[in-house]
Amino acid sequence: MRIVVVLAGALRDYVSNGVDRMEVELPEGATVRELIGALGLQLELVMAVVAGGEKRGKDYRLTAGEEITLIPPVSGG
Amino acid sequence: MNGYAGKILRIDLTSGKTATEPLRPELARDYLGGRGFAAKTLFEEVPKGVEPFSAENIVVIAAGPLSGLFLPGSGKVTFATKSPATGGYGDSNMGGHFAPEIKYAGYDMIVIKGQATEPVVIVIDDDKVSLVSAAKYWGKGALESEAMLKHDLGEEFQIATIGPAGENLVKFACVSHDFGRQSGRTGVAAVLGWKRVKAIAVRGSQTVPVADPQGVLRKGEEMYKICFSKPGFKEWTPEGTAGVTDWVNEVGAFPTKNFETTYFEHHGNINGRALRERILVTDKGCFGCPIPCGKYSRVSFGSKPTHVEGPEYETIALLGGNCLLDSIEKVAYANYVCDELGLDTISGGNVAAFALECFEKGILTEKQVGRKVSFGDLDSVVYLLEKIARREGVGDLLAEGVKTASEKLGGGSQRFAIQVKGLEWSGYESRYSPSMMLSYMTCDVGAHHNRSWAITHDVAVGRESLEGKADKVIELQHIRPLFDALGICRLQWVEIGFELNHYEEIFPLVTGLNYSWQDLLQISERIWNLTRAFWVREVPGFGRTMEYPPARFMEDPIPTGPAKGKYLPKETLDILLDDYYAKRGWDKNGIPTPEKLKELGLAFAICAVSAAHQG
Repeated sequence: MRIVVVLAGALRDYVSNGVDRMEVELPEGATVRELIGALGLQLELVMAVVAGGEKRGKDYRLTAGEEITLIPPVSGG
Repeated sequence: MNGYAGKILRIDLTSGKTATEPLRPELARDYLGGRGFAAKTLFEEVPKGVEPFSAENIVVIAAGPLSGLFLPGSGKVTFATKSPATGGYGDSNMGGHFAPEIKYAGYDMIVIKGQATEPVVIVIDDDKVSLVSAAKYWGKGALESEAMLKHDLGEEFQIATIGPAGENLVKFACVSHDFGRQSGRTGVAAVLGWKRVKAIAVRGSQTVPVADPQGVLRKGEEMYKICFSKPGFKEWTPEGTAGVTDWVNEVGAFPTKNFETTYFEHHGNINGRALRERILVTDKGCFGCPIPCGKYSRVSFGSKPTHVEGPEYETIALLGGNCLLDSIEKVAYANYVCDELGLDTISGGNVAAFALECFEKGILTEKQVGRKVSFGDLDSVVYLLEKIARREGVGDLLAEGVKTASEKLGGGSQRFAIQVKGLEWSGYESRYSPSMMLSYMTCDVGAHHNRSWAITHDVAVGRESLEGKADKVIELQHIRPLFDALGICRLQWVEIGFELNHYEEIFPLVTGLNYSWQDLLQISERIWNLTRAFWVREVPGFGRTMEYPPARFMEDPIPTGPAKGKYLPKETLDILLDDYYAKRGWDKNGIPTPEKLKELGLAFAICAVSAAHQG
């Protein structure tokens, strides 16, 4: 299945293609955790996940065509 | 000069005289503004070796070329002085509305020297500058006195105040503005207190020239629209910086129990969600901000509700985890106490936790403290903060900061006095984060995070490796403080990924100077080296030995949590410092070389560091 991934903040600096929006091919039923791995990102580098306007956990199961926003840690001041 | 109001205001409190002078074009060209102006002015005008509490020390207040314009986050101002906390270069930047108002009044920088015979309020109303009696405000809280001045002078005045802590020369007293924005670090407010300046009130009615007015409007509108469209924009504002609390615990970097450990089991009760769901009244932004991080909150302890801007992340870390206050309500109340007393919440929380550990270990006794105190107890924390602000009893010692207090107390307390160069550590415990540790060690005001927030880099590329860490720290130490020279907030870039090229594009539209991003970064490097030269000149024996963290971080493995067992021994820190110094063009003791200073246009500073080389 294809997932649309949006990378917030500085996350794009840590993916190989350096872009903040891309489509990713994943097996059916894959989780956000697996998506983060497929992007080559450290799991801890993602602070929050948003899908359908709601915050989700890293074990959230993705569905085909879904748009996922990955958010890095915010800086405390 | 485009982008600048064009004047410097000088105030001599001893004589009571004020004067203006034109802003020198070369100062703007070579140092931009904000902390750049502060660094150059302190280096030039503070005589070598003067005491921070002296008439010859100065306080510099400087806006930048982007301050006050139609641009996202253009409300930043720098307060700077020879720091009473460290004896070295000290600055602290602040949001709110003060920087724009200074420029609208016609000034890019205010330089205050001398000492008034009686407490004063400096009132700047465009060209009219006066020193008026502060008798009715002296002794009042920082928030209370701002409200009184708003009432007395008019709502349209922008006001910076100090609280009782500044009046009593507490070395981590903060400047307060807009009921919750602070120039918090390095004790600038204590120097103002020594000079008997209770407040500075500014009102301006002028405009700031720009090179291409239509271009600035067009680009400014574009910058706002891009901010609003960024992924993460909607998620950032609801919790602001407090939103990072859970994450810092998950990666084992949360200051907990005076930095004994790095994971606080109650972090879910003091995080951004708890703030939003339980105490938030409204979001609160600074001048021109599209992503307001301020959170105005209300809590009730005792007979009436208390309002406070916050807590933001650093306050949650230092007053929450570090003092083991386990609810957002308790943290917010302690935040309010600090704000009204005019205490920096970072150092305030750090010093309170240090005192609690000293008490727990018997280094401070009940007789010395005046009562029993304990971690996790709000009354204990508030008691200590009030003693400190008024320099009563044990507060007189603690008001000196943890470095001096531990040196006087002994009993092994220096190993858990969590500071570098005399400035208390802020909200990221770094025993499992080499880049962040190096950032704290080499920060040009002491142990502060905002020059190089590199912990995500450690997480992204590997926390065990040392390779490339010095490069990243140097890169960030040039980019992040550059915002403080431009007079604009960095959080649009840091938090929602607003691209840096926009600042390169807006700069010539504002100033008419065709500087590339690399040109701007070189100016930032110039400023960094000049502040380093100031340290070398002012602090005898300055060098590598002053950059190490306390023994707890170099010798004690983290006892609990996700980073359990981790620490960075001195040998590892020396590897990081060797790499860092070499890449900066400094000698092995961390002193800028004459060649490096010449390369950066700082040949005038060579004599200041030459003795250190010879030594």
